[in-house]
Amino acid sequence: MTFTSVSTPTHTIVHTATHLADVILGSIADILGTLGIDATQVFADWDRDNRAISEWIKEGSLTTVALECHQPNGVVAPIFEFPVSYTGTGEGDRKFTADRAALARYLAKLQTVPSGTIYKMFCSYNGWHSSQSGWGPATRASVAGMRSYSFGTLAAGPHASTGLRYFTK
Amino acid sequence: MERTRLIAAAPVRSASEAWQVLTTLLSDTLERGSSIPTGSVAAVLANLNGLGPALIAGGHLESKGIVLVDEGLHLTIRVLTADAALDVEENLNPVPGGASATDGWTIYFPPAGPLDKALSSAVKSSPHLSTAEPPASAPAQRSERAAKSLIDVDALRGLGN
Repeated sequence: MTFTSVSTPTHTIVHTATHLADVILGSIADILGTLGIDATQVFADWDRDNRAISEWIKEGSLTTVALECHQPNGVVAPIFEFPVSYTGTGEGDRKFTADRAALARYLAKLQTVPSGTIYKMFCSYNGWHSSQSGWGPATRASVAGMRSYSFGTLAAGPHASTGLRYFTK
Repeated sequence: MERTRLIAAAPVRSASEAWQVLTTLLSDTLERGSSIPTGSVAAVLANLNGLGPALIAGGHLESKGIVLVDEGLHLTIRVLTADAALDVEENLNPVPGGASATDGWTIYFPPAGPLDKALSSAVKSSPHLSTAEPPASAPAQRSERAAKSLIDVDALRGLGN
């Protein structure tokens, strides 16, 4: 009799959450740098925001992370959305991916924004979500009437994935 | 001698945790030297808190990595993410050569694309940080330079006789 065994990698939702939270925040830092918006506060709040996004992905409550650019004249554009999709109990053979090369090509096409433009970050949920330090209720700007571009899948893990959408006037 | 170390970031650990691992590896290596005060390396790298994790999360330390250069010491540290991070065999022991570290140690950061401006500003906080192209090899240690100098002096003396 022949016995065979297969090594099955065990990756938990924690691994997926860690991966996606890093890719989302890293992409936000890169976007701000590309647009010429001061990202000092992103760096200062990095640990707090990374922990919050990771926790919300772990509990499956996070649906979208949004980055809004508020220009001095009141215009809110561009807006970036990172929608998060969940795959149930996890796909054991699915890899951890991050399409940073495609993101870099995408960012190269972005136009800078006027000096004095600031950013705001928002998270949306699919229901109950845990309370996280530094985050509270807020209202997002509308994307109605804006042109929308989809980047497709930005990063994925066995339990969830995130994409990138871009809205501009 | 040129050495390379790899550190695993997400999904193994977050970019913040990976930055802390990198800081500890550099501190443990350099602070073996009697001329490097304990805690001084972490204090220098604290100027990049938040930016360091952003460099890792953006994949900016994956291909070229940071390079630590001192007399007799040339260490490249790359931080890998995604599937590549799962295959990393880490060696987080202090790197040989650190015991003779001098106050001239410098950490060179690679180009970071959109984060270049923030990085250039951050490295101005310390003479130990740089965004310049790192030297291809470690500068010779003083003892080696002294030995070479003695040989030259002897040759000069020989010419005088």
